[in-house]
Amino acid sequence: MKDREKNTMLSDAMIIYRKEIRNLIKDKRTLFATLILPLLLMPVIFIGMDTVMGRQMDQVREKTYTLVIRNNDDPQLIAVIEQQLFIDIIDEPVVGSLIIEFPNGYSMGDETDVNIYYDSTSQSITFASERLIRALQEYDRILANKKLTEFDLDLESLYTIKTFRVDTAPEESQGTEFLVMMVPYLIIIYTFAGAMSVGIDTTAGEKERGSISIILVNQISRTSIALGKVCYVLSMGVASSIMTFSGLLIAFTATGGLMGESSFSGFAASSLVILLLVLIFTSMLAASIIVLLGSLAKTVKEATSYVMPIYIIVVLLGVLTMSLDPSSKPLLFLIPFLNSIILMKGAILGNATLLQLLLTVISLSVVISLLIIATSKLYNSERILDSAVN
Amino acid sequence: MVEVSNLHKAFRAKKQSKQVLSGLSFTAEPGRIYGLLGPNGAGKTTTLRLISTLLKPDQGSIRIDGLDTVKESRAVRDKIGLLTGEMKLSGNLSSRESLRFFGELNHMRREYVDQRIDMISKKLGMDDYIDRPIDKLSSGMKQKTSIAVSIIHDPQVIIFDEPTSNLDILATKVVNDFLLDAKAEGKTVILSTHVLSEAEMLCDDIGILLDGILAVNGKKEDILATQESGRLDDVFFALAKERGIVS
Repeated sequence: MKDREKNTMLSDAMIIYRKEIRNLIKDKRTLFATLILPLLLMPVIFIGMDTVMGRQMDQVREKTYTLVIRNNDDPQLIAVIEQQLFIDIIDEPVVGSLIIEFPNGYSMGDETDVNIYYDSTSQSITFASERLIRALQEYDRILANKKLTEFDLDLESLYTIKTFRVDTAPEESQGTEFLVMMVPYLIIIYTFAGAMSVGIDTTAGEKERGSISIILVNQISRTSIALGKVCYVLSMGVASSIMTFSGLLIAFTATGGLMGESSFSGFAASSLVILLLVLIFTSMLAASIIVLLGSLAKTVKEATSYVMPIYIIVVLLGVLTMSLDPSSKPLLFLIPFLNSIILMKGAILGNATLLQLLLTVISLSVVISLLIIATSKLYNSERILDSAVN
Repeated sequence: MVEVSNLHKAFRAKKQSKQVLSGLSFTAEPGRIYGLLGPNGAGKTTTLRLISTLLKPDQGSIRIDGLDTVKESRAVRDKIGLLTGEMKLSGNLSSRESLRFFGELNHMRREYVDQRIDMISKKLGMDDYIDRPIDKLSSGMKQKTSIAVSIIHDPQVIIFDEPTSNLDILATKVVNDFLLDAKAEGKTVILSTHVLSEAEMLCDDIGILLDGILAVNGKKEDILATQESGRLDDVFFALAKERGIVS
């Protein structure tokens, strides 16, 4: 008499799930690419960019530039330039010199055109030329002030209006432009990318290795097998996106919000909960699509050719919606992937509503359920045995 | 015992139907090896998939120890152990971990699975590498692991579909020795192969499939006696010529 255990559909699915996870844990390369890389990538890119850009700026600022000033020997001009740059005044230009050219016969206070000659292929010289423009504008103000003093006036007294721009966005949403643009895009990409390799391997890869028929000739139902595979792939998608999100968090904290004043610090707990929910449901959707397409394919190559167009559409959707303002039109929250992106933007800005979340969750749940039912039907049909070797 | 009766199977693709099996009937008995022979595309794999409950017949029936493969598929799966030549074990799990996984798939208790692993490992000589990742095993070691996977639940019927295709001589010997042992233990063994010398050496009963029809079915000795040479390849080519498959 054989020693048997009683199992349910879900616990049977967990047998498949646990086996896949055990196999993955031992596969250091896939583990690194799916989980560790997304965590490290953003900090490495952002901190790297921050460091390199900061160092370059320091070098450019601390450099001494050779400058030729033609037809103007006013010491005040040199003084304002020295406030902007370290300079070495020379008579004749050499390679890499900048030139400020006043017209022949120029005398202080004349209305005139001044040319600045610079080499645009050099980043530092371009920077110096911008600083020279600032210095000449300051010099112009000094000359204008001199003229006005003859009439007992100064430049400040000529201005009557002072303009200020006041941000009316909630305090926690201010300075989140970069996050609104980048976070949904990156999360949606990594959700898909994280699930893709493991999803294809566990479906089409299983067929290619010829082990699918052996797995099917056992005591667990084919629906449990399909469910176990979906659970495994969606876990990897969720894990990959959480790692990406954590990587962004680390990157922003370490760089103090590169590309502006963006920061996660003002995030409300509700926003983080919405982000996490969207992330889980989007991962489930990506996993369900990948498992279905991977199961339809006979080989890994064929599965990749099925999944890639969907991935490209998702990437395109991410790019096209980068500068899209979060919308409140309920209909948009019924379109899979688009609803995830818009809701994530809303969560970051702190204006996502419960209705929007509900519509998104319901819409994604319906699509995910349909995909899982289709996968289960496929596993229960003879077509699941189609493989390259037949 | 496996009783195949009047089996028909067709596959439909792109609105076309292809008849793969037409009226197949044979019996495989305990303590004997039944060899299902035939060229590629004759319907050997389809027959074994039907016996293994992976496919359902369009017509006819298959009974394993009295159980119907369609109506009592789960109970049938408990009685059969399947190994296919296309199966390429790979991955980072060890042989022991793989066997535990297949034990779980068969709803076996952990202690019983571990007992079976110890027993099979000793029998097949797997003790030295049973905890090594499968990816690091030789083809012979992998084949022993595949055999172990197929019998972890102690099946009464063993179904091997082209088990030695793509195997070297040493790994082939592992499979053949196992089949002879299984026969000696009173198991019912069904072996599909297109290697006639292998079939001649291992099988007690033989069925030759040609274009989905069982052209010959019976005891090996009776079949070999139909040719003067007493060789299976001569029997096969005579049949193939008779049916216009070879000129």
